[in-house]
Order: sequence, then C-alpha cells, then structure tokens
Amino acid sequence: MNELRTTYRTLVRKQLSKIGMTFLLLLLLIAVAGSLGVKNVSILQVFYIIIDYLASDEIFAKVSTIDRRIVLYLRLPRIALGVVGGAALAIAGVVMQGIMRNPLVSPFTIGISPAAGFGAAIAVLLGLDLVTGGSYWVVLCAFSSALICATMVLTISVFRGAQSTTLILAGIALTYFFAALTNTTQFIATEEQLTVIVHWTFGTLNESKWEEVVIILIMLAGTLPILFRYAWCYNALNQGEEIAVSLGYGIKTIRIATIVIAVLLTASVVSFTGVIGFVGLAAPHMARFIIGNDHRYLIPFAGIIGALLLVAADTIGRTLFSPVIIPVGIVVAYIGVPMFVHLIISKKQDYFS
Amino acid sequence: MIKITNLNFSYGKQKILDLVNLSFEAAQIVSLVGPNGSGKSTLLKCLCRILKTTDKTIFMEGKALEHYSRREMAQLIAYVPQQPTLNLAVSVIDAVKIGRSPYIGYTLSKNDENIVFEVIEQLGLTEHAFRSLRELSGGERQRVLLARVIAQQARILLLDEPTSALDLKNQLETASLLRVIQKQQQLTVIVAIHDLNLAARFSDSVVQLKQGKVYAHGSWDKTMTEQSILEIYGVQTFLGKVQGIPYVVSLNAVPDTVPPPSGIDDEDLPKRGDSK
Repeated sequence: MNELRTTYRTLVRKQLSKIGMTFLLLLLLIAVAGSLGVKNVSILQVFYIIIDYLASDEIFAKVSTIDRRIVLYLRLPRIALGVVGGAALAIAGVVMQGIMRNPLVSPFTIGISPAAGFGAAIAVLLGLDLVTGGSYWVVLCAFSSALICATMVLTISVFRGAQSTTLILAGIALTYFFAALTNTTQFIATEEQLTVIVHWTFGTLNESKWEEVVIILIMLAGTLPILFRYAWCYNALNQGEEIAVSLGYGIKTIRIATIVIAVLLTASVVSFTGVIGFVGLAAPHMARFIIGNDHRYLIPFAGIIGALLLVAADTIGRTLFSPVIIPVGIVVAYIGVPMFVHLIISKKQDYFS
Repeated sequence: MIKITNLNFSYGKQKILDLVNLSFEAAQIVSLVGPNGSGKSTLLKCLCRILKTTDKTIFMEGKALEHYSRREMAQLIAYVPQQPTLNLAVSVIDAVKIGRSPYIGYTLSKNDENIVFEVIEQLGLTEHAFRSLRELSGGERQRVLLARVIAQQARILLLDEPTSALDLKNQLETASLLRVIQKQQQLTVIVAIHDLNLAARFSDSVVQLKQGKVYAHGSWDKTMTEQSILEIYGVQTFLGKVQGIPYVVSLNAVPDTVPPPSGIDDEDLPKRGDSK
C-alpha cells in the first residue's frame, strides 16, 4: 500500500509538473512574441513595459514611448487574445470530446464557425461595418448567427438524447447550410464587400483590442468552474454511460450544459477572430497524448496547449514575411496539420476506446 | 432490504417486465436466471434507476427508490453493466478511483485514496495498478470493474453477467472473490447469470425469470428442478450432485450433421450450374 501511494504521488507530481512546465513555456513564448515584430524590442524591455504599465509609472525611463505604444497597444492585446482565444477553443474542444467520447466532435464539427461567418457576411452586406462602432456590429451578428446554429444543433440533440453520431450528422448538415448562405451573400455582395467577407473567414488576430480579451476572459471565468466540477463526471463517462449514471451523475443535464458552454466559448472567440477552427480539434488531441485522460489535468492542460499553438502560429505569421501578416487561421493549419497527422500515425493507443 | 411491488417495464409496446413482485433479504447473494430476453438485465437497470420506472414500485431499506438523491443512491447501490463500453486508455487506478465519485468534491481525500489502494491490493491488482486497461486480460478487466464497485462502498451490488466472458478458472476466481467480499462486508448482491452451474455454487437464493414474469424465487434445491428448467428454457436437463456440488447437464442432442429443412426434398434444391 505504501508502495502504491508513493508511485501514485510521483505520478500526480509528474502530471502537475507537465502542466507547470508547459505554462512556463507559454510565458516564455508570450515574452518572445512581444519582442518580435517589424520593430524588435528586447524581451527585457517587454518586461519593463509591462511592469511600468502595471505600476502606472515610468520606472524604466530608457524605454522609448514608441516601443511602449507598440508593445502595449499592438502586440500585447494581440498576444493576449491569442492566449485566451486559444485556451477557450481548446477547452471547448476537450470537453465536447469528453462527453461524446468521440474524437471527431468539436464545436467546429457542429457548424459554429460557418454560422459565425454567415453572420459576419450579413453584417458586411448590410453595410454595418462602415457605421460607427462597426466592428462590434459585425461581432454581434457573427455571435447571434453562431448561437442560432447552436440552438438548432441543441434542439436536434435534445430530441435524440445527445448522441455523438446525431450531433456530427446535424453539424455536417448545418455546415453545408450556412456555407450555402454565406456563398449567397458573397454572390450578391459588391467587390469591396466581398473582400471584407473573405478576409473575415481567414481568421486573424489583427486589430485585437483589450476589450475583446476581457470579454473572453469573463466567459472563461464564468464557465471554467462548472467544467472543472464536471471533470469527474467526464472521467466516469469514459467508462461508459451506464457506469456514469450508476455513480450518481445526471448525465443528460451535464451533457447539455457542456455543449452549451462549449458553444458559447467557441462562438465568442470566433466572432472576434474569424474562423480559426483547427485549434479546437488539434489541441485537445495533443493534450490527451501528453497528459492522458484524467480531465482534472486535461482541461487546464488543453487550455495551455491551445494558447501555445495559437500564439506560436500568430507569431510565425507575423514575422515570417514581415511586414506582411499572414492570417493566423492559415498558419495554424500549416503548423497544426503536420503535427496532428504525426500524432495520428505515431500514437501508440487510441484515446477513445 | 429490497422490495419490488408490481413492477412493469416496456420498451415501446414490447413488455419486458410484467408485474414483478420480489423481496430480497440483506447480506445474501441472489442469482437472476432465465433465457435471453427474460428481463434480467432490465430488472437490474430498474433497480439502479438507469431505467426509470413508475413511482412506488421499488423500495430500498423501506424508502421508495425515487426518493433517493442521485448521490445517496450511488452510495447505496453499485452496478456493473454486462458489456461496459470501457475506455481502455485509462489506467487501473483511474478506473477504480471513479468509484469514489459519490463521496468526493474535486480532489480525492487521503481517506478516499486509501480506500482505492486497499481495494486494489485486496483484488490482487497491485502490479497492474498503473497500467492501462488495454494491457490487461479479460479476467483482470473484470476484476478492475469489481474493484471499482467495491471502492464505491455500496451495500447493494448489482452485477450483470460478471463471468460470462471469462474462462473456467477466472469464472471460479471471480465467483469466490465475490463470495469472500460479500461475506466480509455483509453486502446484498444480485447477479444476473447464465451459467447455472456457477449460480448453484455461490448463490443463497435463485430468482427464475420467464418472459418478464417471476417464475419462482427460493433456494437452489427448491427452485431448480428438471421440470422448472424445461418450462423456462425448453431444454431437457439432468440435475445431479458431485461431492455435494449441484450440477446441470442439458440432454438435448446437438446433431453431428445439420438436417435439411423439413418439407423440402433434396431434389427441389437448386444445384450448382442449374440455370432456369
């Protein structure tokens, strides 16, 4: 028994240190990303600027005002949005996979992003992006459209007891439906509108604002405690639905609540950034590969991996052909897909059966 | 301990359980026997409310089942499904750990951990504790499932065919393990089981089910007769005892060759190369 205890303790410590190390890696990446760009600022200076900002003072007088402006208003909001956005997408993906026990399920396979794309396209078509506060109108339209799609999926799944096949099939159908709607708007749009619509679907962190970061942070703060509370239930669901029920979990409620939360998180990120779907599928798989199936570790870890992936992709997109910025949605696929395929080929076991 | 009154259950129009009346005493092993589709599994699922029944048909310790909260019920009743859809990429300790679900918040307390470690040792799974279920044999996986329900510390265990996928030795080992733990902790165990010989070995009483109705409930010697088996299963058997151990042998012949369906002569059958 003592032997079991020692081994178990070591294992728990190992899991926690994996989470800790990855978190440190993320902090490092944030610092590096803050220093890279058209005008390079040293990592140390990035720290100085942050400390100065937090202290509302200019303790480190050597840093130029331009550097301060660049870091505080151009780079950091963009990095912060990458962190919270990537985390939110990955967490939404990991809990969806958890309740469905299906590697195909993610908020994107149920049609959220094409729906958000359609909402944005409608806003552009109506000229809402040109009025004052226009970008918020686009976000609002994208968000509402994503919610409409989510409601449709949820209604279908409530009728059919939230089975994964039903969800995926409904998602595929809705993806086609919203793609057709978007295509229709593109067909009738003017040349200028068309450019805006197409650019929106690329998915970028350009023009990120601190308000957007705060909104997603609030969403995360509101929903994460619930997801953590459900972590044991996701673990029980891993052993089968009947076992989870016999262990005292009301899985119907938990399933619906989880889908609602995942959809809200995804919709809020996608409305701000455009379509960056792949993070929600790839990050959960990578996280599972590294840390295993215990959702108490998996949920925070997937969040960190998602943040890492998105910030890394955006930094590469920003610096590779600088000053041209490649949209992060494109870069994330170029980086993520080879990693993902490597994972599928090399992984020793299947995590869902 | 457990009282079932006028329990009905149907899937759509198909009646599965039809006016079942039963009562079980505490600290006994009861075997549910009967042919496929006689309602054994359904009865077990009703008892742990995986399947919802009409109110006031099942009473546990004098209290109607629907008056228990989910958590209270999980503390009282544990269930092992027949063919659990286990995720095999989970370690033994993680699979046993979730048995503590009805007692814990977010973290396992030291006490919870101790219970998990004790059960793993008691069931001889120590050396496998940190392996994934994928690396275990069928018998070992079954023991992990048992370990999980024992860690759950429920007074009532419902087991659906715990031995049907096991070889002879593992069947006996699982059965004797179950018996030892049941005696030790004074558990009430209800087992759905196909293997009559095994049921004879370790149960205190037998419930015979036929087409959703209770055919008989009582001790092995009283209920299991050649006549009752013929009526329930439609199979001719011989019942005997070897060294005090009861056994059942079926007498229906298994033919060496498959006879042609009656009413068709060989010549009527199409032959190779026949063209019409």
